[in-house]
Amino acid sequence: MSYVDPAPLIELTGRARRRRLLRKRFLRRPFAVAGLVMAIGFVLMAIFAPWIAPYDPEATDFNALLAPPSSEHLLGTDDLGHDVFSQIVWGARASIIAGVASTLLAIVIAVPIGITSGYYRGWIDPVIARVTDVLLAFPFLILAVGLAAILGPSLLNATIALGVAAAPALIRISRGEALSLREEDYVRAAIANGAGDARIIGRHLLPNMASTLIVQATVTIPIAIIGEAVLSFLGLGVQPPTPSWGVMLNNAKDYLGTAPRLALFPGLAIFFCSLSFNLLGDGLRDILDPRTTR
Amino acid sequence: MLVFAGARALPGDPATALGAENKDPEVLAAVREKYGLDDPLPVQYLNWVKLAVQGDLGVDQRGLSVADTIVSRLPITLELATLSLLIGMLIGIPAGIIAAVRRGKAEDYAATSVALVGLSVPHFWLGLMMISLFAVTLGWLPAGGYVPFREDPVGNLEHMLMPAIVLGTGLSAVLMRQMRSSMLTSLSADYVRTARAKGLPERSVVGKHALRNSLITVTTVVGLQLGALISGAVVTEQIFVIPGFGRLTIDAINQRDYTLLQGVVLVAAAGYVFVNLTVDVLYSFLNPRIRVTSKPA
Repeated sequence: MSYVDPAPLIELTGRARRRRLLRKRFLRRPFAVAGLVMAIGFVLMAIFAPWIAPYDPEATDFNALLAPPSSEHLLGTDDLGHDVFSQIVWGARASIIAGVASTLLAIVIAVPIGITSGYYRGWIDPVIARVTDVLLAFPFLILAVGLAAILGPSLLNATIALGVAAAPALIRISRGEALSLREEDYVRAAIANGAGDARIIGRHLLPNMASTLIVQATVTIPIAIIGEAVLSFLGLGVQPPTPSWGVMLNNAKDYLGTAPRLALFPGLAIFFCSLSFNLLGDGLRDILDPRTTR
Repeated sequence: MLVFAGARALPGDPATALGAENKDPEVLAAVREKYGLDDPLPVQYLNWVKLAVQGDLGVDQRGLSVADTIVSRLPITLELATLSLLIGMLIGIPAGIIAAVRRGKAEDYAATSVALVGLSVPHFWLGLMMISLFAVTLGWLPAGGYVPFREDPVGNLEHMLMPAIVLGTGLSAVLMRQMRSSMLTSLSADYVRTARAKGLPERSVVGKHALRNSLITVTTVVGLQLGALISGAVVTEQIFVIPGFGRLTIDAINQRDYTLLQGVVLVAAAGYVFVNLTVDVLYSFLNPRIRVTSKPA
């Protein structure tokens, strides 16, 4: 092997050019950029919660129960004297962890299964396809609620439940991608060149599936974030006193008459958090999906 | 079978849940004996299937027939789902058509942004906010509860309005996006250009040619969204204290009521399959191209 293969060089510049093009297209979409900025903001808020929050979210101030917003308590306090602003900042942790980790879990479960089914076909493919159909017949939240009830209430279990519940949809998508990609000429060429399965999957299938998966992951995150809030609201997710937006809403529903702001702020937090990922997902779909780009 | 296994996998012994105050082992044993909980799992499963086929879903922990309980709760949720579907379609489909026809104009941006907001709003929170505004502050509508339609039609609708709006707005956002994108596809199709070239009025080009073909994809989405409506109903009924199917599901999970839970999930899954079948049949009415024909030899 004394000669230098020119292919990687050309590929590299091609890739760099594509990346620059995508970045340019992305920056031309103000909503997508706003989504990205907001999403990064929420992630940073989750990471740096201890430094951002002015109070310990579990600390109770009995001199200020159900206090209205003031300079001391930015968003007021709840019935136990918890500082609402601090709780919202800390609550971002539960939401981001549940949203991102459950989506990653769903991908880790779904992609290998989808590729096995779509690329290898054989007897396993119809089996996986049918089981996926059955699982997809259960509405996402019912599946998540059922799983969370089986596993017992905690943030970890809620994340697992949401991830497993989100997996069937991703299995179907990655199977479909693998099915169509294996018929592509370049995959056939690679097979003809004697490339092994690992090389074909690693070099051809996964990179070409990536954009679809990234878009799908970005739209799964807000669903999981709302899912975590619903589970915690129903008492199947994060347990008080650990701060979570769903727990805060569950607590606030008893004070709708006296302090509706208790329900307002955590709801707005959930809304903006899921909106940011939805905006980002829409933007990514626009720039990555060749069918909608003009 | 999945239904059965899932229900049994719930931790917690239903016998202890039943005799909560009574820790006497003899009582527990009697309870287990009575409900057949001592039998091996395969035997329990076979007994359940045998009866389910006959329409008997067993008896729940309170000693009531599961089939009767479901039959009494289901219409409430079906009413809620139908009303939400109506609201969702009445808002979502026209909005999607307008956005597609006026693509890139102010109307399009307005409809698209509102839909994105509708997708991101947690609906149970929307419900809480509506209760706080319309029920607590303004006192226009009841905060929750349920009145049977036959006893008080107006009261029934008053109770159903807020939950139906909460569920319907989320649906309309999904429908609007779907309607817009499929209208855009059919508006750029050749037959639409032909129709325009023939000099047909724009109204009939959009209304007849493009709309009919777009409705096919939207029908599928409506069918698929029914599942989302059911999960939405679980939470919405919890907030508005509606004694429907969704609340029954949560109660069954919380009380580890196996027979009840199995029945609930079985009925939900059967309903979902039925809806999908209906959607398939509707297809052939909307699109003659997919009408089932015998294959040429």
